[in-house]
Amino acid sequence: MDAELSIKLIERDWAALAAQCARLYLGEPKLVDLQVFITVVIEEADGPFLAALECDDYNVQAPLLDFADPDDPAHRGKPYWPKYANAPMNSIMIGERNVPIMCTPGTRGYHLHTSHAAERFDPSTWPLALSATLLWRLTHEMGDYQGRGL
Amino acid sequence: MAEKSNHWTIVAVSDSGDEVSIAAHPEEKLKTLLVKATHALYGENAEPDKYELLIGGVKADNLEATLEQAGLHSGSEVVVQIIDVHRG
Repeated sequence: MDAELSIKLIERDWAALAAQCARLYLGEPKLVDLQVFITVVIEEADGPFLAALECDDYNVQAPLLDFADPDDPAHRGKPYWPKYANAPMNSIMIGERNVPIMCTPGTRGYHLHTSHAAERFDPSTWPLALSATLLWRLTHEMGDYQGRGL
Repeated sequence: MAEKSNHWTIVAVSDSGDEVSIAAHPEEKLKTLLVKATHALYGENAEPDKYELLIGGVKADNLEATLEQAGLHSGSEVVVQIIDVHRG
């Protein structure tokens, strides 16, 4: 799928994402190339988190949810995730990256994970706005916050 | 002086960001709104007991509260999502 088409689909779904972020008190989403960054403030935490949705091949595949260093978003992965007691965390290899995943439908990690690779989902399963709702779920419904880093 | 209208419209939003407008009354309970919104967003077969209501980014725990008591007004937005999302 070419990047131009993905950008068009992201633009189509952008207003719904921005509205969902506003409703759920997440930061205003920012698009950089094929990546969407959303600031997540957690009351108990020592500073903000930065969710990074990698949207290459959107919406043939779901956005890949990762967290980035708020000061240098090129740095990703475990040290930048908020840890929650009951979050269904796992990890997968994408290329040479070991990527932490929240194993919930709508995140690319779930759909790529060997446990779920045989399941079939329509692209309507993972509109961008759903990622905002999943971020809310992670930070409100997955147990006690246990600190920065997995 | 304009009379306060009791014919409200609440905007219910799914976890995917789909929106529907729900006719409501300020004295109506949140649980009634949850039933109407669940069916409008997820279909008549969806079971409202399995869904939750988020108001202002916070889960509404007291579904016996009226819309007015919950701080809603005509035009307010609420998110309705399934409680138990598949995990793992």
